[in-house]
Amino acid sequence: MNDKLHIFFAKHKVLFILLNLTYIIVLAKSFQLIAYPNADFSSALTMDRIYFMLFGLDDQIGGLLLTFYLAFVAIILSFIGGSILGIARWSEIKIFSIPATLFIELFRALPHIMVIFWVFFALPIFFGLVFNMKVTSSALTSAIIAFTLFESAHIAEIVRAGLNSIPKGQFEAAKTLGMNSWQAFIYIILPQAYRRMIPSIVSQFVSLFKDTSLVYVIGVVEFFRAATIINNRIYMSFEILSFIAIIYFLCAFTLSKIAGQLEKKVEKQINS
Amino acid sequence: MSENIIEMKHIEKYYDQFHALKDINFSVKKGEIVVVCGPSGSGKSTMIRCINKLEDFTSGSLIVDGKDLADKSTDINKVRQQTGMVFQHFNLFPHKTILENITIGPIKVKKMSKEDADKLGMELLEKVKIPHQANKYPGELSGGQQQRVAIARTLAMQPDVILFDEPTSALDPEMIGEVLDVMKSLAQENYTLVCVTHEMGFAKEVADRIIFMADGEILEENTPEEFFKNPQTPRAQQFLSEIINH
Amino acid sequence: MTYEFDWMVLITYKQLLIDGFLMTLKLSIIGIFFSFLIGSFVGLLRVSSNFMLSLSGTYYVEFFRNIPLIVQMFFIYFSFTLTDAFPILVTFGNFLGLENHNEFFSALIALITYTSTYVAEAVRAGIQSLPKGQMEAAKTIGMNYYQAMYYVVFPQAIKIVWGPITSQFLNLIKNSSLAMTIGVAELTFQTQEIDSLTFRGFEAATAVTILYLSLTLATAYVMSFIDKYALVKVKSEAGAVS
Repeated sequence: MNDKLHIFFAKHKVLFILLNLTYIIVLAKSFQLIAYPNADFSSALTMDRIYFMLFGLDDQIGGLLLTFYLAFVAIILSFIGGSILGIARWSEIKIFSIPATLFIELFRALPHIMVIFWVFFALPIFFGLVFNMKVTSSALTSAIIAFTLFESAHIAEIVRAGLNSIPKGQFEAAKTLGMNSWQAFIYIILPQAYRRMIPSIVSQFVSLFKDTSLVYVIGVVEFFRAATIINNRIYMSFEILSFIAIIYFLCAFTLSKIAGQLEKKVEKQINS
Repeated sequence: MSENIIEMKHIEKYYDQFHALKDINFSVKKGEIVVVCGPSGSGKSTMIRCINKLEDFTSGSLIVDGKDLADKSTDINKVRQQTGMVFQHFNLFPHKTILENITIGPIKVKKMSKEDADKLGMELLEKVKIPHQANKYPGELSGGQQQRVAIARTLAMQPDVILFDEPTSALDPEMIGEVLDVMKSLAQENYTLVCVTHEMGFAKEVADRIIFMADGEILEENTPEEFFKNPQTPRAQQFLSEIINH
Repeated sequence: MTYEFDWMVLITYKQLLIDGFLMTLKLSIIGIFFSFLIGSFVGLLRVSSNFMLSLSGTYYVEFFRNIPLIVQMFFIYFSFTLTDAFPILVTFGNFLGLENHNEFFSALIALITYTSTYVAEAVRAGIQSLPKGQMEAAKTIGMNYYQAMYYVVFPQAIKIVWGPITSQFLNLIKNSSLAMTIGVAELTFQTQEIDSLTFRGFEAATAVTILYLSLTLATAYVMSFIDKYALVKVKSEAGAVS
């Protein structure tokens, strides 16, 4: 009987999604009725509060928009940093691989929230010590730097795995065509490796997207912090936090489904 | 009916749209040795996997030793204790020793004591001629040895019927003989054997009956001598000529 | 502007570091234990042939994985008073020597729900990577589904994914730092504490970094030890044990 259900839903995908949505709404409403019967979503979620949480203030970008901005900037910088680190670690040249390994292992082992604190508080000290400059930290800049630091470490591992997944035969084939090591690396190995890494990198982006909520601790007014600001005023945490939980879920879920589709496409390419 | 230990009537099976088994009527008497052959994709594996419910069937009736497999109240685990299966890829448990592979069924399912089970296990290993391998792991044995262990594992549950799903197809040629020898010795005893195989020599030697299947249907059913001498359908004739010229 | 390093503050305030470390330890050990239990269970749900069961498993995984951990912690802590709803937590909290039961358990529950989703996915991957023949062979010798899972499939699956599961446990240890945002005095909290008392944030952060590294290394070592001595061994043909 279960097999038949399975086959039926595979054919009627839209019906499946609709049924799921109804089931979810029923579950959620039952949960709310049992756990927090006096929920008052309409008074908690007014239009200007929602606007603030999604977009921030008029003169300063914030909210969910800032979350995405932070995530995009961080992923791009980490992609560059992570690529350099990953290639350095993969290479057999000790001058590159040893410092790269140390960096990667350090930033993979540290809690992200610690790195965020570190950068925020240590940056002025660092500049004062090394450059003898007086710098005040901008929370957003610190956040971007902190994310770049630990995300590069994660992406470096993805890059290394991607490079390792290319069969040695590719390198040898390239050399028999007369390429030297560098050319073989840039024209043959790298493109293939990057194609394989795409799903993992998108997946890492989803992680990063969720991690943006951590910059709450240094005061960046992204989506999560915006919600807590409102909550501190109106003390309706169930309503506000449910709202952001749902929005986070929708965004992260969609992104991870996209990653899944990319993974299927890449697998097709590899196996063809 | 009382003598038939397996009785399949009008069995149909669909995988989605694909008609895998078409009106299969197949019965086996207790103690009989039946060989099922045919080209790949003919549904022979599917058919015997229905017998121990590794595959479900869409409609029809399947009675194994008086127990109706379509009936929801039938305890399929008890039925499976009576029907052993030997797989093409052995499917030994890699994380258990050879002896443990054989004794785990009797101990956990039949609640035999460990001493009795170990004794039984060693006897069976003697029977398949590899008692010295008892404490090794499957990964350390050759294909032929692993398959013999698989047969011993099945025998440990003291089944009435043993199903073989292409038991020698994954073996190197020089090891096929040792496995067929064990199967031939089983044929001498009281076991009912249903064997999907390409080994026509084995069929000629021990089978009481041969079933030829193609495209999900049973096309021919005969004694081995008759089948090999006078294949009735063109499909069977084509199949046999290809096997001989192989 | 120069910065004078004063490492003595670590000695003066060593109690804070010890307290923080113990708190992180409590969160981590209990968190790891229950994440493994619940994660394995949900993973088994996911691979079940029963459509409703596997769908429930999917709901659990997608829901708790896509919501940021900090949001889950805040949600539980600020929306509910756990000790009112579940008074038994007071007993547990006292047993653990806690002062702030609600904060601790809110953080712990969120850690468990979040991490268990990753464990569930690992368990699912492990089970699905096994050849189907293993389950089939177990069934043909008369084992029911639960016996087949317990004796044949699950032991092999856990062995296969022990590495990824170890990573998830290490992640849990790192993620425990988020508990500080709702007031749990764990290790990262103590960094800020020492910094606000002495302005020696750099020294504090260094000490805390070393403590985190030690904890993750110790956990990795324990997991590796379990792998060698408690998990099933599979000997391959070449004689190498995996």
